[in-house]
Amino acid sequence: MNGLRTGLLFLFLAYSLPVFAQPTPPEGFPSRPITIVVHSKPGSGIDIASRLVSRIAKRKFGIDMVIENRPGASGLVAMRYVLSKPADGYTVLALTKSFVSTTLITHEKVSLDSFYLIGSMMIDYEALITNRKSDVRTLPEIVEDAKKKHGHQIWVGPLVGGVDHIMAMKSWDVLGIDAVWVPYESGSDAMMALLGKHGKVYVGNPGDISGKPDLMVAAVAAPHRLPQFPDAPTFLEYGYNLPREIIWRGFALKKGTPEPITKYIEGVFEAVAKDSEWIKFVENNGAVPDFIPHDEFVNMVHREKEEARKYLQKAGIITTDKAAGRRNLIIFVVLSVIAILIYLAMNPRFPQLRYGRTVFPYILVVLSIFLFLVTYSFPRGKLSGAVGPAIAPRLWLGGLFIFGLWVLVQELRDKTPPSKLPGRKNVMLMFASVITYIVLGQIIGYFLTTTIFIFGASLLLGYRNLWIAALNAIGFALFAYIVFYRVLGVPLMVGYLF
Amino acid sequence: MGILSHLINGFAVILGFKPLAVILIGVIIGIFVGVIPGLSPAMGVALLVPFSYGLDPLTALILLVSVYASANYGGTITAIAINTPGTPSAIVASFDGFPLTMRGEANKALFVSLVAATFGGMLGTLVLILFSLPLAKVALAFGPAEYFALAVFGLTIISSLSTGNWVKSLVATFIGLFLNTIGMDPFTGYQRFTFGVPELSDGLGFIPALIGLFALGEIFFLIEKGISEKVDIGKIASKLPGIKELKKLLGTITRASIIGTIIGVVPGAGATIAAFIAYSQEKRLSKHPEQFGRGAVEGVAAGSAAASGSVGGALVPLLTLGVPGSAATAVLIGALMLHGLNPGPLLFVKKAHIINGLFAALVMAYFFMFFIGFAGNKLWLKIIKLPKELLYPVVIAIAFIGSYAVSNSLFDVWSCLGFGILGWLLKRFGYPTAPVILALILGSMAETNFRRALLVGNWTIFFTRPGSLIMLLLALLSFAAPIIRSAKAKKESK
Repeated sequence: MNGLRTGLLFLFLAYSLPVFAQPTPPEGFPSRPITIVVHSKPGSGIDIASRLVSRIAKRKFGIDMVIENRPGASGLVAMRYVLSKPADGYTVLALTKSFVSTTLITHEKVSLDSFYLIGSMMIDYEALITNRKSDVRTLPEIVEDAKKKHGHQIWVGPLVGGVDHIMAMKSWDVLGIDAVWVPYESGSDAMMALLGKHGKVYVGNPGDISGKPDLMVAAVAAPHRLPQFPDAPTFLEYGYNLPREIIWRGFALKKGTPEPITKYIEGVFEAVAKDSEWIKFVENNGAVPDFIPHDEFVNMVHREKEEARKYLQKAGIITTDKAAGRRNLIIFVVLSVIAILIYLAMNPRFPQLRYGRTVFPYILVVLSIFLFLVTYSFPRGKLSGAVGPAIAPRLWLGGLFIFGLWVLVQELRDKTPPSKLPGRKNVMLMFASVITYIVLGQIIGYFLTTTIFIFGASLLLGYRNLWIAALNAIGFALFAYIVFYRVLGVPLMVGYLF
Repeated sequence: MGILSHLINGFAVILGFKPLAVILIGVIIGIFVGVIPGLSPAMGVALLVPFSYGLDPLTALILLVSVYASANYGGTITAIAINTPGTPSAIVASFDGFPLTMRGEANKALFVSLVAATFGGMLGTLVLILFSLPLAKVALAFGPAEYFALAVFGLTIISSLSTGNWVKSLVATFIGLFLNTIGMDPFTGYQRFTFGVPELSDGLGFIPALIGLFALGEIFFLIEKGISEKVDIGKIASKLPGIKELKKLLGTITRASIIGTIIGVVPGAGATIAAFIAYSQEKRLSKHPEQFGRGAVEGVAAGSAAASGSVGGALVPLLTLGVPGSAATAVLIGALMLHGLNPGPLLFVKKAHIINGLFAALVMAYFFMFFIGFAGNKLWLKIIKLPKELLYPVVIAIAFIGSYAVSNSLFDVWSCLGFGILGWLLKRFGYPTAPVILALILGSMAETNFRRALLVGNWTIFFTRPGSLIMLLLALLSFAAPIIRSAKAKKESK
């Protein structure tokens, strides 16, 4: 009897464990929607993944999560945005492995250490991908061809210093070869180059070949063959020790968030990661739905950071040049003083010197000299072969200088005084009110400022029917609220008050 | 025959109440997305992806494609009415569309743009159905050298865009080219000319630049010129072009649509470059090139048809190779993957009904776009008739929504104002603004591909690859021809 009871109790416990594992929300949390901040534009991979997380969280726990896109500076803008918010659990950062490189390359003091890493929701193994129709297809063929070309084999992929670039450098080490990294604006541009045989190897994920019969995986950096890609051999099979290179996508909170809230959100994300809808989505993308919990995640990111630092230094991407900023400021001040002195010293008998049409090209010419001097603080073209980052700007600024000077001479020869335009005062007033509009918009929000601005500006421009001007302003603000904000979901400026 | 049966099968799939209603909704949303500056076709499609998740794959695809198809036309509406291109590709429609509006012929310009966009879109779809496989080869042949040559060819268009002083056009071009180098260098990760401002590290936003230069710059200029001189737009605004006039445009629209489709195939080139190239081509062929930029209907037709035609082209690499041909198709790929569909050639075999349905839906979307656009034009005309004192502040408010919407950043709003002031300065001192935009579009394409080509090969690569050589020669020709012609004309007049 006793034994049976213990057995039943055991069974009950075993079955109810998953129920107990359901996260319990802390008192009164969440009382409003949680924002997931995404560092790329709507429609990108991580954006779609975050939207799916929000959908599943709503279904499973009834939590409202909204997505806010804060693109820019490879994730720095999103990171700074999350750090500017209170650590109350209402702002979650979506992040990928590329953030590791981003924080290393930037001169700003933004670090992943300021975040509490909740967990990684999906991983993608890194792979070398080749064109089935070219002469270099398998890993041994890549190695053989690379040795024949003495470092001139072309590898393509997205931007310099990113996850895939580091993977490329790492595999060159492991394979004992040398090659050229040719960066493209995006992974798909690079894939296009591989399809067009403008490069031999593309670094990406096995999922990239889905639906593209001309592409094949030469080797995947996974411990064993992946079930969705049974034909893709691993590095290990060829005897190269590259067992696990991954890209992860995960979520983080600002450090300092109260522990009960952190634990609860961690539980929610873990539950979402184990949901069948999520698993199906990840597998559809050719990725692996492994959940990496907090502790393991932190250690992994720490290791990756040290490794990325090593390779970024090797590639010459991390440099330490802080003197350039101060030097540029000195150049600017000195040059402006000289320019103003030259201008004042010019013969005051020419009235055309004072005309705006002469001052404008003069400023262009001076600016082009200053900016040209700035290009001398740019790094030399170590990563870009013969042509470094300074060449194009010098060419364009040189052109601006020559033709700006030409226009300046033209304008000086032209003795006709400019025609007086009637609305000069109005334009200046308009500039002032537009600036006020933007500044006020940050404080009291878009709708109220817009109403005031449209009303005021109409009167400024000489409209005299107060009622219609007011109606127009209020009508537009309402229209903007309903059509843009509500129906189309366009983000609008939010002030401190609204 | 096989192709015809595809299309018939496609229509069989979409001719139901639900698919047709979805297309209708998609087209209406698309036109709205186009009308709002700052909401590009790609962003419009992206905003609808979450909604489409609950639909079945075909319906979702139809919805997104309808939005994409009609957004380019929507952009030309604001370009013509208030000189604010709603989408980047609509800049070209504003060159002649806005002068037409100022002359009181807004209705004509809007109607021509609608006809051209419908025709261009349908032709683009037809080309997509018939020639997607050979066209995909064109896209693949484009390596760094060819992209560089295309960018150079595109830049030579400024010689046909300038109306007066060509030195000033060059100054404007170099301003645009320089502004383009601000931000992170893609090859070394170095921050060029950012002076420590993190928002600059991705460069200046293109949409804020576009809205600032065109909409704000124009408004500031018009305010300074004095708002009192009124054009009675209402008087002749209701006149539509006759059949005869439309017939005359047929050649222009057909040529522009084909150019648009082919340029659309090349990933990264897209609707805007297509519209620019078609425009300069028509100006070159025209018997009265001097009217371009001052209100030539051919200019409006060429820009709209090419932008619309590029949609079919951009779908070619998506369907045949599985890589996006434009920003909007990149989002489409994301949406397809969400539904468990892998875009690429296998889709034709495995899910033929979806591809057929897509083709039919595109045709249908343009059909609907024509009627909705026609009905909508009356509404837009009412807006144009608003007194300028009321309209200008509203345009400024819309410009700021547009700039802010791109990446939720106030910095973009400030940069929009900065470009507005630049546009005003350029305008009042007699510099054209279009070269700045063209240089902003093509500058980085020229630079990155030049450097990329040199990483792959050496200097000779530009002349040993036939595609690149031909385009560079064409560029030389297209740059020199107008200058030589005007020099000759000067000599003769002496």
